[in-house]
Parts: sequence; C-alpha cells; structure tokens
Amino acid sequence: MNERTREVGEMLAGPPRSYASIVWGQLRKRPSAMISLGGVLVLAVLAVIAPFIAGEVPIRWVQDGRASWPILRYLTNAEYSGMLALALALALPLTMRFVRPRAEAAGASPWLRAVAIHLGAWLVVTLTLLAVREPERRYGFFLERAADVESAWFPPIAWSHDPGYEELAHRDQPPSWRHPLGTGRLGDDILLRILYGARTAMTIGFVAVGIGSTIGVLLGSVSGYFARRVDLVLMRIAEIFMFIPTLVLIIIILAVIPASVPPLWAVVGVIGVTGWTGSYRLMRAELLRIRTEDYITAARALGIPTWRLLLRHAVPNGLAPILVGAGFGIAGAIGIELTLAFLGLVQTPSWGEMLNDGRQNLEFWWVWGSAGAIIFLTMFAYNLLAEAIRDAIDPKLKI
Amino acid sequence: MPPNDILLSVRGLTTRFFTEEGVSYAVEDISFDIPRGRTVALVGESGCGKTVTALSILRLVPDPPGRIVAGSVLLGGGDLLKLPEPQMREVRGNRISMVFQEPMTSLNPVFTIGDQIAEAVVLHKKVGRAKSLDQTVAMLRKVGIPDPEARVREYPHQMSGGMRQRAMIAMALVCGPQLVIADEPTTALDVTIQAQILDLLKSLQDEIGMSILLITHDLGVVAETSHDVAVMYAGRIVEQADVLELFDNPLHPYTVGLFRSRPTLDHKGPLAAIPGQVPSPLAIPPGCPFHPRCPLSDGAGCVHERPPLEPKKEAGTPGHAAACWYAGRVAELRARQEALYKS
Repeated sequence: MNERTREVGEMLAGPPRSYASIVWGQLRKRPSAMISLGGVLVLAVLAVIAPFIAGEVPIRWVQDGRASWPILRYLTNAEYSGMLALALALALPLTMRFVRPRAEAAGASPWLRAVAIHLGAWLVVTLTLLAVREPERRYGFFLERAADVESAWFPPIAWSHDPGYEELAHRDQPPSWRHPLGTGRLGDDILLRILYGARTAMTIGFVAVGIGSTIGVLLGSVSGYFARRVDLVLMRIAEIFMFIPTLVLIIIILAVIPASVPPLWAVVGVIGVTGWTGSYRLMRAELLRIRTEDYITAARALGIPTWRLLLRHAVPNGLAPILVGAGFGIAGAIGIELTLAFLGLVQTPSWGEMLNDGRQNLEFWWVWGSAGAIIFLTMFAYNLLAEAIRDAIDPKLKI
Repeated sequence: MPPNDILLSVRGLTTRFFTEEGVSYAVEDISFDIPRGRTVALVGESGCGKTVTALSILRLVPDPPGRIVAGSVLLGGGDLLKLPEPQMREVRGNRISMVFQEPMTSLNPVFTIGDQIAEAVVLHKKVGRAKSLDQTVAMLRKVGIPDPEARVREYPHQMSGGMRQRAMIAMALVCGPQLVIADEPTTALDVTIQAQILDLLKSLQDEIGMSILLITHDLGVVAETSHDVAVMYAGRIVEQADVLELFDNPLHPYTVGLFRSRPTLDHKGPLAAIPGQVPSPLAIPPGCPFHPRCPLSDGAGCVHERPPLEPKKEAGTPGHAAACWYAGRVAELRARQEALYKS
C-alpha cells in the first residue's frame, strides 16, 4: 500500500474511535439528550455547591476589623467530600492530558490512570477529613447579626433552613422578589428547599443506583457466564429479592433503625441492596450471549484465566444496557424517595416532603407547584437521557 | 506419514456431546501425528468433526454438553488431556495456539488490536506492557500489516477482513508456539485475500518452523499448503497420506468422491455429487459410517464391521492408510480407468 493511499484512507477513517467515543458521538447528535444531560449536570453541581447558593451561613464575615470565612467552618465533611469529587471529575480531562505521554509509552490507558489518581486523592482527603475534622454545628445567628457588622457576604438566597420568629410574619407568601418561589408554613424560603431537596434526589439517584448496578453487574456477569447451577441458584436469589416490596421494606427498616443512623442512608442502602435485580437480569442476558461469541473462545484459546476473561473481556461488551437501566433506575429511585417523603417518613429536606406540605394547603400553589415542576423536569430529563443512550448503543452503530 | 520428529501425537481421541436428543458422536477414535515444522491438513465436509478435533486438542470443548471420553494428546511427552487446568492455560496460546475461522467476530470489539495481542504476551512471557507492545508491533509487521505502529491503536471494526485475519495470525504467533491450529482460516475471506493469507502462513512456517494443523474443506487449499493430509468423515479419519500420494492415489471411496465432486475448468454437465447425505452425528451408521453411500458397499462386512485405519499395500508410500475393506478394489478400478461412482 503506497503512502498516498494510506493517507487518504486515514483521512477518511479518522482517528481510532473506541466503543465509548462512538456512543458519545451518537448521543451528541441528539439535542434532547444534550439538554437533559446539561440539566442533570447543572442540578448535580447546584446540589453540591448548595451552601454557597442558598443558606444562612455567610461566605465572608468581617467583625471588629477581622475577616473570617464562616462557611468554611460550617460545611460538613460530606459536603467537602462532595465538592472535591465534583472538582476532580471536572478536572479529569486535564489530568488525562498530563498523564497521557507516560501512560501511552507504557501502553496503559490514560483514562484509567487519571481516574485511579483522582480516586486515590479523593479517598485520602475524605478519610483524613473524617478522621480529624468536626464541622461547626452551633447556630451562628449570622442573619440576625448581619446588620451589626462591617461586612457580610451571604449566599445569593440568604434564608435560614430553620426560620426564626421574624420570618413567621412572612409565611405562606406567594412568589415575590424577596422569595422568588414564595414561602412555606413557617416562612421558610421555597427556593432554598428546592435546592437542598436536589441533594437528596441526587444522592439517592446516584448512590443507590450505583450500589445496585455494581452488585447487579458482578452477580449478573457471574450468573450469565457460568450458567447452569450457579445461574440457577443466583436467579432464584434474585427472584426472592424481586418479590420484596421495596417501599414496604424501607418503611420497616426506617422504623427499626436507631436514631443515630441518618434515615437518608438507610433509604439509599435499601434501594441499592434490593434494586440490583434489574441490572442483574440485564447483565446476565448479555453474558449468556457474549459467552458464545468467538472472541471469548479465542481469548480462552490464548490461555486467558477465567476471572480476567469475565471482567476484562466479557463485561465491557455487556455494559451498554446497564447504562440505560441506570438512567431509568435513577428516575425510579427518586420516585421511591418521593413516595417516602410524601408519606412523611423521611425528614431530610426533600421534594416529596414539599409535595406533602403543599397537599395540605392546595391554595398555596407555589409550594407543591415548584416541587412538582422540578420533580417532573428531573425525571423527564433522566428518562430522555436513558432513552437516548438506548438508541445510541443500537446495533446500527456496530460497524 | 514420514516418521520425522513428531511434535504432537493424537491417539484414540473420542469426543462426544451428551444432549437432550441423544449422544452425538462428534469425534470417534481418531489418531494422527503432527511432525515438527510440517503442515497437516484435516479435510472433510461440514459436520465431520474437524473443528471439534481442534477444540479437543486445546480442551476448549464446551463441557457440558461435550466431553472428551477417551484418548490422549501427547505433546512433548505429556498428555494434554490429563494436565490440570492451570498448566493447560500455559499451553494455550503459548505452545499451541489457534486461528479461528471468522475474523469478524474473533476479535473483541471493545479492545484495540494492540491490547488484545499484547495481553497474550504479558500473560505468557511475563514481560511489562511496554515490551509486550514492542513485540506486538514486530509481529504485526511480520504478518504483513503496513504501518503497524498506527494499527496497534486501532479497533477491529476499523480493519478489513484480511487485515483482521492477519492480526489473528499475529495473535496466534506472538508467543512463539510450536503448533498453530488454523481452523478454516480463509473460508470467510475473498479469494485473492485467501491466497495472501495462505502464502503468509507458508512463509511464516519456513521462517519460524512451527507446525500447522490446517482444518479445511477446500482441497485446493490443501494442495497448496499441506505436507500431510487426513480425511475425516462422520467423526473418523478414513484416509491418511502425504499430500502428493493422496492426490495421486486416493484409496478410500469417500476421498475419491471428494475429488470427483470438484468442478474443473473443462467440466461439462451437472456436478457429480456423492449420492446420499452426511449422517447426523446423533445417528451414525454401524460398521463403516460411509457404507450407505458407498458404491463398493457389500451389504455384509461393510455394515457390521468397522474397517480399521491401516496402511494399504496398494499405496505408493508406506504411510498411506485407509479405512476401507475394499481399498484394493478402488486402486484396481483406477488402474483400469473405470469410474468408481456411476452417475
């Protein structure tokens, strides 16, 4: 093949495109998917940096000539950890560019190395924080004292989570300049509650589905690959879990857990541990197909050991439906949390809780209206995204 | 076959599949040798057990429903069928490797070519990623893939069929195996690419000196590339000889029928097929499995007693063996230029 032909060929073919980049390319062509993805990302970012957008702790506080940054003291370890995770996730392309030369020389994937570095850094920082730091918990009365100090930079939506006596005068107010989404029964700002409710929704969505998907992928791949007796046993176990009514189980668990356990994590845990059956079935079906493929036999003929065959060769080929399932699963998990909060079983700030509050006073439409709208938009976005991924991984793109 | 230095020796290999419909006698008591540095062809129609034989050698037969019920496969003095699995994994890809039929599906779509080939090197040669990549590039160059440094980072779907098959061959050879089992390596390719791949295999054999077990149904390919041939039918080897002898002097009626059914350039009239059908492995006729279709079948010995595969005196070379009671008659008919199959 002469030089010229090869050059033309390369121009036509383009740079090597991995499976992931092909799927991403397909996704990018769909405006609905990109908008949904953008919306979800915005919500995630807002959820993470919520204290800087809405809350009662000022960002900067100058008293008696001394400047301080109270918000830094009040942020919980979980909040710091979350912000670090977000920052690291966004910085991934940067690190990838940095490690690329050495990684490619060694024949390793720059992406994998970057993720490993970030994961390690995140773990180290999180564990250190948990070990040495206790966030400030005492109520700071910052809003009350704001008038008396030289300077106070509050977050843009400066209201208290726990409104005090003065705010009661402003309860049940429709949207206004002061409170863009109105106020609730105790004079609490609705916009602030929406923002903090997003945290609950995002946590439930990603963490619960993350746990569930991981368990499902591992068990499903084992089940599908080895089939026969292993599959028989695992499938029966999965069916038992499928019988369990998640909602009822969560209610029971919420009733019996000690008060020290934050109920949100109990909910997340239960959804994760019972919700694995969906991705289990998907992964199992994929593996039952993949194990008959020639490239698996070819890999066995090279002497690749079984565990490596399963995890490195088989599983990546079957992950596509899992992504779709995860998208729908997140919407579903949010729905479960909604239901619980609506029933009044979970006390964390949550959209479902707002729906419940609004239900009792339907004339204050801004309460249930805002919650309803954001719930609708979020679930709509996740569903659109999941559908788009499902179309993007369509066999039509298998070349 | 000429008693050269024998690399691999198969003795009495029997593989059966135990299915719901019954027992499938895929491979029944076959024995053959593969000498060092030579190509042995295993020829036969679809379903005669050639691929199962190859899989049995590497112990890749899906178990259940398949099982190697008898026999031995001797490599360097040890019986592969008795090796514990970890040691068998050492053999696979390292001392014996396999090239599969379908290059389209034999490469994992989510990995680059370089990743897949280098993985074999890392696994068997215990070198680091960087060195394994060097060896991969060298091997790709050796199999004739242009610009291997760039190709290494490409995915299978970006390569043509011929290129993929070359990559598969590179993957099979990269660890320096003593035996390469090529299962119909050119069946899925265009004729022109076929020729290139076969030339490649031959030149690699000249250069590296590995043995090749070539599985094919194409007699033309056999003539081009092989030193020794074994003809399989219904799970058994019915004739065995070196290639020139087999083409000159086939002694088994099935072999004769195979040669006869190939169209030639000056052929006129309908193609001559062997009457009847290949038997299902679930229902193999007793005695000689070919007897229902054989023009020389006597209705007695052929039906009740299975002819052993043994050297015939009508053969031109000492290693030529056929499993037929009437091999002499075949040779006689040929000497008299009488047709064996009347059609």
